[in-house]
Amino acid sequence: MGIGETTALDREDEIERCRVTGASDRLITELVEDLEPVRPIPRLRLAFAVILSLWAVMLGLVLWAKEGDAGVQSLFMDWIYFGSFVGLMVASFGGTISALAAGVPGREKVEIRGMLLSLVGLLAAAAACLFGVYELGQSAVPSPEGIDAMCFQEGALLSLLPAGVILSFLVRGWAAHPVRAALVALLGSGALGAMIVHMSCGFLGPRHMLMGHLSVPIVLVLLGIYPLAVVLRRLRR
Amino acid sequence: MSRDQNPREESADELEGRLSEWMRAAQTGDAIAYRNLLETIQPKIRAIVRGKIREDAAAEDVVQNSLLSIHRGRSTYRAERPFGPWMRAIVRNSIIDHFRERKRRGDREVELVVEDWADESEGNEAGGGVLAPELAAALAALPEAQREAVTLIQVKGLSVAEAALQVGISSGALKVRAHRGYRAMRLALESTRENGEWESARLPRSTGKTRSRGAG
Repeated sequence: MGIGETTALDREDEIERCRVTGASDRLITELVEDLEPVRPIPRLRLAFAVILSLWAVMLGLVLWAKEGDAGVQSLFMDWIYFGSFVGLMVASFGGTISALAAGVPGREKVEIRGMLLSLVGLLAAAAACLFGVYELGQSAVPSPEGIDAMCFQEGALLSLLPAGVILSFLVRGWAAHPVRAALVALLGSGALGAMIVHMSCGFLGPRHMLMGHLSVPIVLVLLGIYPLAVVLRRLRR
Repeated sequence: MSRDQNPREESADELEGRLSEWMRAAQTGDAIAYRNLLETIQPKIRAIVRGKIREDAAAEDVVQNSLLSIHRGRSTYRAERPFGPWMRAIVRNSIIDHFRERKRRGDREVELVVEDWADESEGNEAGGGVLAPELAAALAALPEAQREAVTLIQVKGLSVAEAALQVGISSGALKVRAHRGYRAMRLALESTRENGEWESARLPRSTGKTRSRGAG
């Protein structure tokens, strides 16, 4: 290849570079024209505090409505209950923090750590219940008919409000990984709903806790992850 | 470390502060600050992208997508946090999106012959009788550039990359045009509905061809 040819190629490269750079400059002009005032997204801590407050109010109302027939009274008397309680608490904390962080660019570390914490919490809670089922075996008191479905429904309903707050945050935010954001949003809100049921339910059989309480976040994730991820992906475009 | 000891760091801090200040002003609608911000970060974004993507056109496309993402996600920036990591996170995600998209599409665009699909859905053009009258009117009322972008994506069913190729502009610029077009059409249709003139307007997807390829 001669010197003249190299120069011609360089010039072509330069022209191409100018062409694409020019397109970016035009884009900047269009973006500036498109500019509208926006309200910055709330701080993660504030959003978390709002969710926590709402959750506490819901818990108070549910406990008040059940007039003391609450499982939380036996928190330190039953290790299976205690194990699943701690697991759910970790899952709801991690999931909520992770879901909120998922809506803000640059908070990926918090998002990942929260997600891992949430999954570990849920697994620990499930492991405690499964171990309880195994240990008690035939001596376990069978669940009254329909109580599993009743607790599941209650948990799912109670997770709607935290899910709404988390989703409104995500909608205003910028979820870089919609599937991950959907997973943690459902996991966090489901675990929050399950926590209220877990603390207010008077029946403490390990099988019931697994099927009626812990199933809430798991089923919500299984049913909702795909549609929610699609919605979040579309909102990003 | 004192400012006198490390002037380079001081200047980086100053720039960080200025970018943050511009972004805050942009969030309130200050166009001059926003232009300053975008023009200042554009070469920085390009440098990050060029470190990962070598092809000129692809890299520039990612630069534009990053600018677009910064524009759309500008409400997620909070003044108390540094601007640089926020911006780099968006650019990083744009790069990841690019590689994901490229893997998914398998460089299909290279084989694309524009002439093959240029006239394939002539009948679906605005006012062509297939769109609902209100929708066709809203589409026809758009400025030429926006109408073209909306028609190519929503009526002809092209992907953003294909439409951009046909128009001869970048994907990012086409997305902005289409976005503005959608907004103008939504406003026009809402006003039609409020005036009681709403009869048969439907979303473009339900009338024209659906988009068969992913957005570029």
